[in-house]
Order: sequence, then structure tokens, then C-alpha cells
Amino acid sequence: MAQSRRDFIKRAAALSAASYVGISLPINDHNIAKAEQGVSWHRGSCRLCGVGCRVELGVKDGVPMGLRGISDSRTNFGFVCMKGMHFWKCMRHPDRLTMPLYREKKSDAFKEISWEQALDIAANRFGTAFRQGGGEAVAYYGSGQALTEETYLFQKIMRGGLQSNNVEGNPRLCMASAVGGYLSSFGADEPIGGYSDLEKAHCFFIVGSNTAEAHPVLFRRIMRRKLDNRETVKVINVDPRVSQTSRIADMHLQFKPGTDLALLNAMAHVIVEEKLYDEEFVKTYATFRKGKNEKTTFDDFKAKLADYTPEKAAKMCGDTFSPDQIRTAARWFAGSKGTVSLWTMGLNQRKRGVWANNLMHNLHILTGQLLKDGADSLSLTGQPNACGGVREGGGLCHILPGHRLVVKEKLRRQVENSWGVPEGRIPAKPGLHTMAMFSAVNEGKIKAIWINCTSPVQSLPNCNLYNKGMERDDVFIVCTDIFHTLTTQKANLVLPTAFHFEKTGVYGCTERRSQLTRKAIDPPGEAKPEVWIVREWASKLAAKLGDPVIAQCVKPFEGLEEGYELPKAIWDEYTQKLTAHRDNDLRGATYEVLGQMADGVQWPAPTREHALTGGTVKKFVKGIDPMADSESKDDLPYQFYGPAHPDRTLWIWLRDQADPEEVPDAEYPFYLSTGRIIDHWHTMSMTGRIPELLRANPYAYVEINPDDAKKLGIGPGDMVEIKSRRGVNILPAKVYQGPVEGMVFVYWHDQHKDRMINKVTKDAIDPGSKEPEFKICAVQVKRVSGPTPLKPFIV
Amino acid sequence: MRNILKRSVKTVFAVVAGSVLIITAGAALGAADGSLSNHPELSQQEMLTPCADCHREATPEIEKQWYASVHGIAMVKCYQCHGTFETFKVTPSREDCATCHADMLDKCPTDKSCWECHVPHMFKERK
Repeated sequence: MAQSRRDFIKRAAALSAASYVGISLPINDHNIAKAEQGVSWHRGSCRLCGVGCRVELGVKDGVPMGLRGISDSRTNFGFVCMKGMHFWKCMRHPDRLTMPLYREKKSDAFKEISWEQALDIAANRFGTAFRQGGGEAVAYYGSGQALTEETYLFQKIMRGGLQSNNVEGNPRLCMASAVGGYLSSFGADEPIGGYSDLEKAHCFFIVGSNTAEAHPVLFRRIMRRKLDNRETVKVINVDPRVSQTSRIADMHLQFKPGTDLALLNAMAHVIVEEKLYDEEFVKTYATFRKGKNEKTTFDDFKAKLADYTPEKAAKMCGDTFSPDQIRTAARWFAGSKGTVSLWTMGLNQRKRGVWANNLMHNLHILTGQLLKDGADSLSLTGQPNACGGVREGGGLCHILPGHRLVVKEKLRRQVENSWGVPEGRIPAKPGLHTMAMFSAVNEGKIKAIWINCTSPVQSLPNCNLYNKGMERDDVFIVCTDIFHTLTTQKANLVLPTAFHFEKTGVYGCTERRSQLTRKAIDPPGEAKPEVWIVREWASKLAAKLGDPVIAQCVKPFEGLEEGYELPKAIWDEYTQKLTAHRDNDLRGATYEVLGQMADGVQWPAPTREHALTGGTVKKFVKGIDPMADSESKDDLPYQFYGPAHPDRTLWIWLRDQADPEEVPDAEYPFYLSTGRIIDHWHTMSMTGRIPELLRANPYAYVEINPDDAKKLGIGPGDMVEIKSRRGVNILPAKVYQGPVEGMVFVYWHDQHKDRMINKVTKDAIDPGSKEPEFKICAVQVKRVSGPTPLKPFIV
Repeated sequence: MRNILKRSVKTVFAVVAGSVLIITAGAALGAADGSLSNHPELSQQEMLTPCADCHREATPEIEKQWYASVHGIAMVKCYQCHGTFETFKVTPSREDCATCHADMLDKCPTDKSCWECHVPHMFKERK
């Protein structure tokens, strides 16, 4: 080494913080993961991604002591990732919000107030907004991290009480295109199979997902399968960026951002031309579609694919791989004994995200790589309860609990009758989707908005634009959270909530699996579970507006103890009344059953007996899925009873390559893409307060391909300006053969104003799913200086 | 891939060369078992450097073994087993391993440390 070890450390650290001021990093004792005197262990789910790992929290004398995985859980087999191992350290963090905070104007300082005062203020302001503008003047913006009971109760009060379908949540930003894809290809939301296919798969097709960082414990299962079967299991990784996930890949197809629809069509082309498709399966179970009401034929499909020969597609994708590689990928995909595809935001956060999902499903339908062991078209969800709480619980503007569409009168009536509210109470028109909702905030049309457990100030695309609205003094904002975030900084009222394991409720993960976490410790100070907050608020709102229907919405829950009895009653109402005979039937998955299971229950689970087996491993398969039997219309082994396909077939879609909304040009010559890093969760309000996690990645940087860096005169660590038509960041460079040439990549967790990449991203949306195209926009890339010391920043 | 991570090492060095700020070593390290006594003293700012950024150069063999192991591929980083500066242990205890491998503690001999059978950083079973 040319320099001493000491010098190296000193200089390397200069890249890190110049100041440590303002970040509280209490050091907890090391994890105590095995039995220790006086420690009791409490089962629950991990809080920090969509995998659904089961964990146990160790508690001694009411104080959390450590966390360990549960070995007999079928989600994680005892393994946890770094975030999972450490999230319990948030529980006793000194920055926890412990008292309600209020300010009349957003320029005022917050003052501590009592719960009585806080709930009065919230009821008054929402009541006033409702009186002035009706249901369109109020809104709820929730989270895929809220418990199902919380999302369900919030949306019940909004729809049944305030007559507003302005119910949205951050899953719109990550999962909406996957929902659209499942509904339009398979007729029903959520995957057919699940994680149990991973150990039986012979080919993995990982596209638009850095599974190693975003879903580490699931990646471990894929890695294990590959390493134990190096010659017989193939891994294909498809991404414009080489990532940690690529380390286990036999083939990495790196391409020009936004051209993967062409690649997927080219694989279909090979499968058709080489007759690798399952003719009997397609003939029996599939139909071809140009539009929802426009059927077509196999021959039309084949003719469409003529535009996507491997040669043509390779060119469209930027000539970064050969036509023969496409052929090989298609042969591996079609010819394996079982192929599992996995994807996340690379396909979903796109202007044509639904189409990308359809083209992925096309390959599985064509090849029959579905409904059998080791085969599935598996969209990984990003958050722990985006599926369970939001997709199933009615947490989006166009859906009601139990996968019911708002626009269907019959389905609205079912919900109204279940709630005992007058028919017609739920508006027939869907509410505003996320980007429309925050546009309405910008315009002052929404006068009161409740933001729960999420930070849109940082997580919306093109966030500078939407933050202006949230600063308006005529828009009343309530935030419920455990820590301050950039969004609480724009709120009038901040309500401290109980954290995970400080309350009881259910999370539903990627694979239709619902899992219970019971309260193990008390929340700090006066923090309260959201279900208590909503119930009390609704009671005051009913009095304020003199509306007995609002009171009716919470009447079944009056007086119940909030740590267990209240969420149990909410879960019972939701599952017994609103999932009955729906495709996500959860009637068998009571708290009593969930409490017995190491790893919860996969729906459909209409009966207690079926739930106690773990539920349904494969949807639509007779003998496995009880609804495939109860809904059966013929002698075929597979029954596609999903609500969106009355013809009960799988749909193969004719979809063309579609460019992103914004592509590079002479003025903005580079692609920008963004993603999640392993050490941090979303906007790092939790993980940034845990020393191990903060130190691992104290701030965001921009990854630049070495060839681009050379052309631009950018050296490692140089400060680089990333500028789009919407905003600017200045970040240190990491010169790295990760992104394809012509593309830069930035992780999105950093709260610092100079490194908050959603100032730069684009807010174009998919016309079907309304999900924004976070993943692709055009930017300028310019060196502004040599390396500069940086500050980590947590609000 | 290996080359890619090599490049990130260069990133750190290059930053070093351009940096005008040399931070004075400050807070003493507080590892619970005193196992950091041979480690250079670090300021709070310096502690914001991921372990592997230095150890790729300071202890290259260990870093290589880890990188090629299942822990390296699955991104189980240094701090997940060793803790951070204030809680650092050179040799993780059975309890540390138990966070993920609790079932193995019930199956393995109780009179041995995990590393007596599983080679540290490589995690291959000793033959």
C-alpha cells in the first residue's frame, strides 16, 4: 500500500460526514438472539419489505432486547437481512414522537398538545373541509406499511363516513402496474404461486429487480437454489444495470432503458417460431386480446411478433446483446422443468408498466410455465402490506375491500350493507389517484388530507412540484408517524403512533400470505395505535357534523381495548363480512388461526380447516385451491374464476414496444434510473437513525459507467450535477460498471435537499395503472467540482 | 463483477486525493470487549465509512473470502455479524449467529463456538 492504513481511513472518511450534528445515533447493545434469562420472545413479521420474513422480538422487563428469525417459517426459514435485524432499534429511539404536535400555520413552530385537543382539531378541520367542499375536499393518503386493520378503518371512515373515494396510498407508486397486469392477464390480482416455487424452479428470469438488495432474504433462497444446482438451474438477469443480483446470473441482458417490451416480445417470437409453446395449454386455457373487448387470434399474435425478431429487438435494445442471446434466454425459459419470473419496479414504474407486466405474463401463458411446481409469474411487492392492506383492504381510490371495484354498483351495495350504512353512501365515482390527489392539493381543491405512515414530500416523483401544494396554509395536513419526516415538516398536526410490535395487526406479503404481529411492548410516551386514533377521530367527526352514519362506521368498535381487541374486531369485520366468497377469501384466517401459524395463511382460505394447513399454495388449481373446486364450471383441472375475466381464460396480449415519456435528447442526453439500497428503507426516517445502517450508506451517490465518466471528465468521488427539466441534484460520483453506457443511477433514500433524487424524476403516469414512471427520465450530467465533504441528513 | 467492486475501491482513494478536509481523529472506540484496541482511532465522521471500504485494502484476504462466500453473495455485510464500532466484536458469539441460525444452535455441539466448525468469512465446513 502506498499509504498507511491510518491515512487511508482518515482520507476515506473525508468523503463521509463533515458534520455529525443533528443526527441522534444511540447505540444499543448487540442483538440477543438466543435464550437469555427473563427474555420473552414474541412472534411477528418484519417491518421493512414485502418478503414477509417472520421474526421474534426479544423483550425483557418491557424493553426490546433483540430480534431473531423464525426457523419454521416458510417465508424466510429463520434468515433476516440487515434492515430486518436492526429495525427493532427504532422502538426506544429518543427521536420517537411521543406527543401530538400542532401549529395553525405551517410557518409556526410545533407545540405539544393533548390527544383531546388533537382529535378535536382534526375533526374540526376535516368537518369544515367536508362542509365546504364535500367528499372531494378531503383525502386520505396511506401506506403499504400500515396494518390491514388500519387501512381498512381509514378507508371505511373516508367512504362510509365522509362519502369520499379520495383514498390512496404509496402502493400506487410501486404496485399499481402489477395489479393491472395480473387483472388483465389472469383476471385476478396477485400471483398464482409463491415462494415455495423457488426451491423447485429450474430457471429464474429476474427482470427489473435488484432482488439482492430490495428483497435480500428471498434472494438468499434463489441464490441457494442456484448454488446447490449450478449446472441444472439457470438464472437470467435482465436489467439496464448490472447489480449484486447479477452475481448469480448465467446470463445478464443489459439494454437501453425502456426497451424491455421489445425484448419480451422477441422472446415470445422465438417461443412461437421454434414451437416452444405449450399448444395444448394455450388452446385450452388462453385467448388472445388486442383490447379488453377486442379478441384476436394466435395467427394475429404471430404476425405481430414478426416485428420483434431477435435481430430487430437486439437493435431496438441498443445492440448490447446478441440475437442469439435472446434465443438462448427464450429456450431456457420455455424448456426448463419450471420457470419463475420475478420483477419489481423496473417493470412497474413505467409509462407502460401494465403492458410490461402483460408481456411478462404472456411468456408464462404461452409456455405453460404456470400452475405447476417451480413455475410462476411472480411480481415481488416492495412493502410489507401493500398487498394485504392496500390491494385487498380497499386502500386505493378505485377499489373497495375484497378486490371490489368502486364503479360496480352491486359491489358498492355489498360493502354498504356490510357496514350498515345507507345505500348510495359510497360515491359511484372513483376518487383521485395519487398524482391527481397531490395535483388537487396543489390547486387547493383538497382542503384537508391525512397522510399516514409515508413521506410523499420525498417519495413522489417530480416532488418539487407537489411540495408547493403541501406548503399551502389553506391545505390542512395531518401526519401520523413514529418519527419526524420531511412530510411532517409540512403538516399542521403530527400524531405519534405506535410502532410495529407496539400494536396488533396483520400484514399480507407478496405471495397472498397474511401474518399476524401481536403487541409485545407498550409504545413510548403517548403514542397510540392508528386504529384508536381513527376511531376516536371518527366519533368526534360524527358529533361535529351531526352525522349518525359516521358514528355507525365505528359503532362496532366502541369501547374496545386498542392493543388487541380493537384490531381483532376490525379484522373480523373485514374478513368475515367483506372477503367472504371473494377471491381473497380470508374467513378461515382468524386471529386465533393466525396466532397458531409460524408463517400465516395464504388466501383463498375460506375455512378454518384449510387455513390451518397454511392455505392455498397455488390459486386456480383444483385439489389445492378450494375456490377452484367450489367455483368450478367444468372438468378441467384449472379454473380461472377471477373477477376480471368473465370468460374464465388467461389473456395473451398483443402489445407493442412503447418508449418512455421522456428519452434523452441533445439537451438532456442521459437516462436516469433510481432504486433501493439494501441498508435503507424508503426515505430512511427509520434506517437513517440506526448507526449500523446509516454508516453503511450515509448518503446517496450517482453511479456512472466508466466510459461515460471518461467522456465527461468525471473521476471517482467528483461532485456531479444531475439535472432534468424538473430539478437538480448534486451528488458524489461512483464510477462503476453497473449502469449501461448512457445511463446514470441514483438510490432514492437520501433526505438531503441536494441529494433527493425525486426532485429530478418524472411524474408521467401509466394511463391504465396511474403509476408514475420513476424509473426513466432524461438528464444532464456535469462535473461541478472535485470531492467535497458531505453531511448525512435526517430531519 | 469482481472488477466492479475493485473500481469502487478506487472511488474511495480518488476521493481521498481530492479532499481538502482531513478530519482529526476524535472519539475513542468503545467496543464492548475491547477488541478494537488495535484499530486506528476514528472520529464520529470517520465512522461513517462502510467497513469494507477500508478492509478491502487493510485485510484483503478476509474481504476476498467474505466476498466469495454465501454471505458475500447474499450481501450479509460486516456489521451484521460484528456489530458497529461501539458494539464491535472480532469474534461474533453464538448468539450473534443465532439471529439467522437459531435452529443450528440447537443442532450443533454446545461446547464449541460456531467458527470452530465453520471457517470464518468463508463459511465452509471444516473437514
